[in-house]
Amino acid sequence: MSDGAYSYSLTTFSPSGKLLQIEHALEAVNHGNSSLGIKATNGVVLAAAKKLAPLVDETSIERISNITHNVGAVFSGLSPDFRVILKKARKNAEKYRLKFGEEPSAKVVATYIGSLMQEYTQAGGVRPMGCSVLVAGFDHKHHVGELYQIDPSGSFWSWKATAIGQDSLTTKAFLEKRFRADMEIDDAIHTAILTVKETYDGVLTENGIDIAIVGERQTGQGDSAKVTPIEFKRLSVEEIKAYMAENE
Amino acid sequence: MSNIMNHNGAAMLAMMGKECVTIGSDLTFNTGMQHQGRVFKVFPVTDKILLGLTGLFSDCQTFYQNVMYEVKLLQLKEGREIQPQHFGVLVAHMLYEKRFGPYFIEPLIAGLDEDNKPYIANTDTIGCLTEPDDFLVCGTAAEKILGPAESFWEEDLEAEELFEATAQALLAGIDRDSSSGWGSVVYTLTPQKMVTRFLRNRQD
Amino acid sequence: MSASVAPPLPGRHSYKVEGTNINFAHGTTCLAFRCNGFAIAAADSRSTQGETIASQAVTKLIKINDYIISTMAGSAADCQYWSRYVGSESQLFELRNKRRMTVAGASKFYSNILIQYKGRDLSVGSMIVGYDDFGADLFYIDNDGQRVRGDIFACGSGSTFALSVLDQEFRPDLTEDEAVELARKSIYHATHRDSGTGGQINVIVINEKGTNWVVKQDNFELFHKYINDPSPYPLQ
Repeated sequence: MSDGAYSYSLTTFSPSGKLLQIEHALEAVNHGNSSLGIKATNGVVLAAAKKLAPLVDETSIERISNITHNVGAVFSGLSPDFRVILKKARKNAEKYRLKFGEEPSAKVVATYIGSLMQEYTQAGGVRPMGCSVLVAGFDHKHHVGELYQIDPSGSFWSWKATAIGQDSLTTKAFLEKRFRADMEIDDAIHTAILTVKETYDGVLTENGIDIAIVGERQTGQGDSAKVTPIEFKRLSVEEIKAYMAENE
Repeated sequence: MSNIMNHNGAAMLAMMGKECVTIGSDLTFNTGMQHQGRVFKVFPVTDKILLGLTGLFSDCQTFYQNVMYEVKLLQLKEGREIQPQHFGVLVAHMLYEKRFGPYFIEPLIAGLDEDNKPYIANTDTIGCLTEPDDFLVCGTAAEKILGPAESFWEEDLEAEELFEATAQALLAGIDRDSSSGWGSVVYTLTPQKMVTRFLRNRQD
Repeated sequence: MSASVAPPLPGRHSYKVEGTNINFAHGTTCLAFRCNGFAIAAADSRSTQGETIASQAVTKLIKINDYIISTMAGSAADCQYWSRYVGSESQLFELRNKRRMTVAGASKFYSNILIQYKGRDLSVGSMIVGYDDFGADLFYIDNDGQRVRGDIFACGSGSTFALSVLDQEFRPDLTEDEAVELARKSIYHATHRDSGTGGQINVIVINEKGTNWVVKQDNFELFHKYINDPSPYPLQ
């Protein structure tokens, strides 16, 4: 039997110890639009390139989605698969809120998506998810951002900054150079735009990128200092345009 | 006594003070009109949450085990203690799950949250949550404790005063209820510690 | 008698108004026994309405006259009224006949009243205890018309507990002091174990000198006397 024979049965290891369907799924991810996440001191930024056929109405494409008020996700890979994940993750988050009276943290959401992805590598009659997911949230109690990556295998881990999808290696290398531990949300947005621009074919406009933030904003100084939480929200085209103008 | 909720008998009272809560309970375990022995009806959930259970005692024990399963699972999954407010929702949720075949229990929750804000709550048998900011009564002696509790409770009592109010109201109520008594215990919860005190009770 | 006014038929019309009777039948313990030369009557003092304790200081041992006591179980009003009635009849008997009514006579008279009212919802369960020319005597009577002579009786929700203790140590040749202690202990254990029984423990001795109220003690006072290990938990 050739190695290729193992690659069709989802639950059969190849002699080299690999589950080839999962590797193929990762390949699907690497062909998808690129996405990235950056942890800032006061929040987390998610960004995703929207590389579309010229006549597609870009405004109809949402690469980044809310799961709860404070947790959101971006994906690279097959968008229909992500929609399944999103639907289940949102339902699970609501179930959690109903049971405990509070929203789940990003870690809880990421753990759930991880379990879900794993299930699709082992259950009968299904195939692995063709997408990787970045989950972002903010712990308002301890004032720290949360950023997780979940792969089709079900494994998940946390990043200070990362990228998935097309050109993810280049993008990650770019982020490694650009990342600063003392970046605030605004700096991180600029870095995100620059990073997407780096691998974007053609001219990047405000319609070619999706950006979302979550965290908190500090206003005032000393005694009058006030911390206002920012729920997970996608930036509007106008907001993105303004940030891009600052970048020029 | 033919009512299953009154079969085992109980008197329970929780009060809210300034950065403290108390929960007082009698110790009797009846079967119908017979005093069988003494049991504890207040259970620890975390270091800062207590769960008092009145009603059918076998259901109390089962419910406590089931609720601790959820609490410990949350501790393991998320590496943090559940907060009283969320514990209240959890209890209500678990009771409503059995809406058409309920546990014959009325739980009483008292705790301090991570900011040491006091919290008390109770629910009916099918999980209707009430979260008042003064005091709560439960059990066969509930109505009899209500009056004394109303007159003894004041806003922002310190732990020692709150204990005194709880103990007096509880004892007064128990002495008017034939189904509760046989000793009682009051737990006083402050940010620093939990104090357990047993009270002198009539023994009839 | 007007033919048009027919008396209500038993069972078809009820004179009982719901909730007006304080019913001791479910919650009480009374006991009585007789030994050589004296008899004992004992009871608790709790009155309940449902699970609520209406009073902890009720007198359930009613004096019919200086030599006869009736214990009270059932409707308080019925017991009190008819005991008083039998008492006044016994007084008339004494005036007319120059001798005291016997315990047998008083209990028979009482029982006859209850038979007359049978089916009309009187609620009486009573031990008639006393001392007469024939010595100490004891009867149990109730609203069904039952009347039985005996050496030991107990009634009420706590009677099983009381009898358990009483039967252990009862002998006809108990001294008065021993008998009083036994009665006190029996009622005490009923107050401890039965939720319908409580308050004070009352004991009356009846002998050739008449009735003598010898014990009136609170349950909690006796708790430390009878229970060696009061509680596994330290009391404040």
